[in-house]
Amino acid sequence: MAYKLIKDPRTGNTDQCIKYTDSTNVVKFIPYDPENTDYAEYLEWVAAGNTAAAAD
Amino acid sequence: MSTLKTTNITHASNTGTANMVLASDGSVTFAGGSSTDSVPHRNLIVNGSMQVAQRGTAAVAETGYKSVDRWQLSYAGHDEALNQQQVDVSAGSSPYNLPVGSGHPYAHGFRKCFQVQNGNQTSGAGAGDFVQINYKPEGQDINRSGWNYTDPNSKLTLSFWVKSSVAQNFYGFIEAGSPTRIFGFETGTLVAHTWTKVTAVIPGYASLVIPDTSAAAFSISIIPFYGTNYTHASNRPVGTWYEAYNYIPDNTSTWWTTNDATLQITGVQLEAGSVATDFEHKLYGEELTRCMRYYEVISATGAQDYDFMGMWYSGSEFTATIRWAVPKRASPTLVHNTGTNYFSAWGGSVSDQFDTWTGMQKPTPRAGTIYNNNSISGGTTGHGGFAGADNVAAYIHVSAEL
Repeated sequence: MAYKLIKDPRTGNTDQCIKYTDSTNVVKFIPYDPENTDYAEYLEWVAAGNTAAAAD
Repeated sequence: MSTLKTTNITHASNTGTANMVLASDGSVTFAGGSSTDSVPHRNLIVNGSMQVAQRGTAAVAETGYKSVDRWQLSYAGHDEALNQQQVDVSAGSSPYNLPVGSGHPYAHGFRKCFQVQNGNQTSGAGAGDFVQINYKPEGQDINRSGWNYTDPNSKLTLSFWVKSSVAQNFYGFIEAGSPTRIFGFETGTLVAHTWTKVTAVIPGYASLVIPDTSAAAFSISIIPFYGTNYTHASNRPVGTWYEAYNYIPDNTSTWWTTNDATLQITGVQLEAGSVATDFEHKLYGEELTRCMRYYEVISATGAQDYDFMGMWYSGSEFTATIRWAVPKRASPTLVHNTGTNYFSAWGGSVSDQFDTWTGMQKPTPRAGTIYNNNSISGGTTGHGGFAGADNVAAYIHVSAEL
């Protein structure tokens, strides 16, 4: 299981969504929306001292 | 034509406050609460009849939102995983579905229920073991329900049908926060394999805080089992708000220690007022639309199941904007599985197949744009094409659950 930042192909910025891949290779694109519960879970993960993998 | 003139109407056996008060302006106040059985949209629960299961109807041995829409199963401390599933409310024959009558949900129009089936918990009931069924309404919906949630004289009523394969009492609670507030309720001792209707009347509480947003108002949890880490040793009574965790009594462990035990619920209704009115059934299409505010299948289970259109942004990128059929509670997470040639883009004589999508741009509650820019090679810049799942096992869905 891993979080990874994604570059917007137009701007090169990592501000559109976060990629999360679980142990069964199911992929989630998580928006930076504070009302999104997956994003809230990501923020908790970061607050625990973790860092997402850098974008390609 | 004669006219009956009066201000109060009450039941013959009533010696207290009138059941119905007629005002000179024609308005009517009901002592039992502001809701009656004929008031539409009084049920604050989406999919309380458990009829919608967009994720599928097969048993799933996982936690989370995996079966019936809007209903979540959580558990931990298990030796064998538990299943969640949408199952039929059978018309009934002994011994498992006792004769249909007014005491059976089938007689009230229920045909589906949410079932949790226990695994084999060989190590017994541990203090940290738990399993709970959860539902979270939106804060803005509770704010507009008519329940004045900070007034102890204002009531919210929860009602539901429940059936267990083992005889015991079960607890549940409303959890609001933060700060955390807990209101416990119980089913009473259930007879095995027998449906029972449970009602809990929830008063307002002065320090409750419920956001007027699309965030969760609170969670409603029905508890097949809680270990003692999550209960209160002094067994404080249910039916009262407490300002901390662990304020439901210790649980009987019979269900948890019975292999393959089941608990089923349906007909969940939450409404302003102190009376549990008859369940407000909805047409399937209406309930499905309400569920899609939280979850929507975009593409699933088909070879060349083209559910949306896009374009070759360049010779090495296919991109598609998908407008969700129903606006979401929040910008949703887009979820898809991956596998060899699970997805494809097709236009004219060109077919680009690929294993996964690369990313999503501009996600909003209304739409999002997905693209692949690492395994596309066949298209012409600016040409349009169909896209979607291209394998019976592939899927794309979006989720904005609470």
